Formats: sequence, C-alpha cells, structure tokens
Amino acid sequence: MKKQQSDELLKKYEAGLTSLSEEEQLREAAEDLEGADRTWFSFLKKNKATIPTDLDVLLQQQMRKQQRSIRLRQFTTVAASLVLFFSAWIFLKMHQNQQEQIRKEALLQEAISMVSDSEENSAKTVLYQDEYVIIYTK
Amino acid sequence: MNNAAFKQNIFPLVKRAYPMLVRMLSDEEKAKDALQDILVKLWQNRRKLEQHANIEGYVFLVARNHCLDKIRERKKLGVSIPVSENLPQDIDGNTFAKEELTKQIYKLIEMLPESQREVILLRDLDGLDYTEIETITGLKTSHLRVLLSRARKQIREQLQKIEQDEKTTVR
Repeated sequence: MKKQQSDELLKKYEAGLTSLSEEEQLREAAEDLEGADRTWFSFLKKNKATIPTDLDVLLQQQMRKQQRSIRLRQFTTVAASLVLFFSAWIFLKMHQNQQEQIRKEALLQEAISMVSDSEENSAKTVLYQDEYVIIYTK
Repeated sequence: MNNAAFKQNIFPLVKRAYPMLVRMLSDEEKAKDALQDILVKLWQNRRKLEQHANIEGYVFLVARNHCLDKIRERKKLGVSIPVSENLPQDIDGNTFAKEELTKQIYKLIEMLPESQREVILLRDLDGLDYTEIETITGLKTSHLRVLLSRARKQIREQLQKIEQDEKTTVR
C-alpha cells in the first residue's frame, strides 16, 4: 500500500469512516505503517480470532443432534400418547367386563332364588285349593 | 424458517460471531461450545428470527448475551478474566517485550470509557459492521462512529506516548 493511500485511509479510520474491507486492508498492510499505527494494526491482525476450518462441521453436527433430539421428542410424545390411549382402553374394557360379570351374577342369583322358592313351596302340604286360593300348612 | 434456509442464512452469521466469542470467553474450546449453544437457541427461536427486522444484529445480540451469561456464571464461581488477558497472542514474534506491549494495549482498551471500549472491541477485534453493533448496543451508527473515533484517537495517543517513553528510556 502506498504511503499516500495509507495516510488517507488512516485519517478515515480515525474518524470512524472506514468500511470493514478498508480496515482489513490496513491490518494487512500493518508492516508498511509506522509508529503507533504499525503497533496498533499489528496487534489487531494478531489478535483477531480466525474462524477455524472445522467450524462448519461442528455446526452441522450440532444441527443434526438438534434434529435428532426433536425427532426423539416427537417419537416419545407419540409413544406416550399411544400408551396412554391403550391403558385407557384396557381400563375401560376391564371395567365393562366387570360390570357385565356383576350383571350376570345378579341374574344368576335371581334365578337361584326363584328355584329355591319353588322347592320351598313343594315341601308344604296343601289343605285346600280352588281356582283362586291355595291353603297349605308348613 | 426451514432447515435449508436456517443453514443458508444463520450458519454464516454464527460463524462470524466466533471471534467475538473467543475474545469474550478467552478460550477457543469454550467459544466452540458456546457457539453450539447459541445455534440451538437460534434454532429454537427460528420462527421469531424469521420475523426479525435485523437478523444479523439479532444473532450477534444472542451471542453476546450468551457470553455475558457465561461470564456472570464464572464470576459467581470466583473465576474472573480481565480484558487484558483475554487473548494470548503477541504482536510480532514471541519476545517478552512484544508480549508486554500486547498487555499494555489491552490495558489501554480496558481504560477506555465503557461505551467506547465496547464499540472498539466489537468493531476492530470482532469485525462487526455498524448495523450489527447498533442492535447489540442500541446506539445509532452516527453515535457509534463518534465513540469509535474517540476510542481510536485515545489509543493512538497513548501508543505514541508509550513509544516516546520507550525511546527516552533507551537513550
């Protein structure tokens, strides 16, 4: 970089009017500058962290990891919903079976009681019987 | 914002924030870890990101706030890293004098008023443009230019003084 050009850029730089590319030019030309400018731009050149080449890979990996975790979360949600649904279904089914069982048992009891009544009646001695009345002893 | 758009628009910005992360966290490995956390944050907020008027600025703002949180956490644990020791590089070669000069420059930066210090670090060391710094600091470009100009003048004057002192000492 020529001295005149660098002087102009330095003036602009100090006024805060340089673009990023012009500032990059100054950093690159640090060795050609003098005194405090040389020290400052050499410092900036050395201390500006460079972007590592493996950063893209790192970001891609992180992105994949993120998407995997989202998929896993979705899968877990669906699985949990299914488990909940089937649990509820099984519970309802069992409840229905239980109700049915109770109903059947009640019917059976009713039938048994009817049978035992007729047996009870048969053991009695009939004293009188007509169209309307039956009189029997115990 | 879908995967492809996110990769295309956000990845380059996240990568550009890397120098700032290294500077603020003073460790390349920690900066890489932070970068991944920031990426996750941005991915989780991708809908908000899409509607943001200044995506670049927003990405840098998220990155900076993340670093500030990490620094606060470290301070709570009793680990503090002064700005002057943030970066290990020396100016030219490995001589003791050059290392000393680097430390002196960091001290000069540290001595600047906070607003000037932040702007000069974001611009000259992190390489951010004015719109990005605007979002981070909440200041207008015209104001940023003034702060930057003052900071640069101050540093230049101080460096000239140091050089003069060195010359006097040698004589």
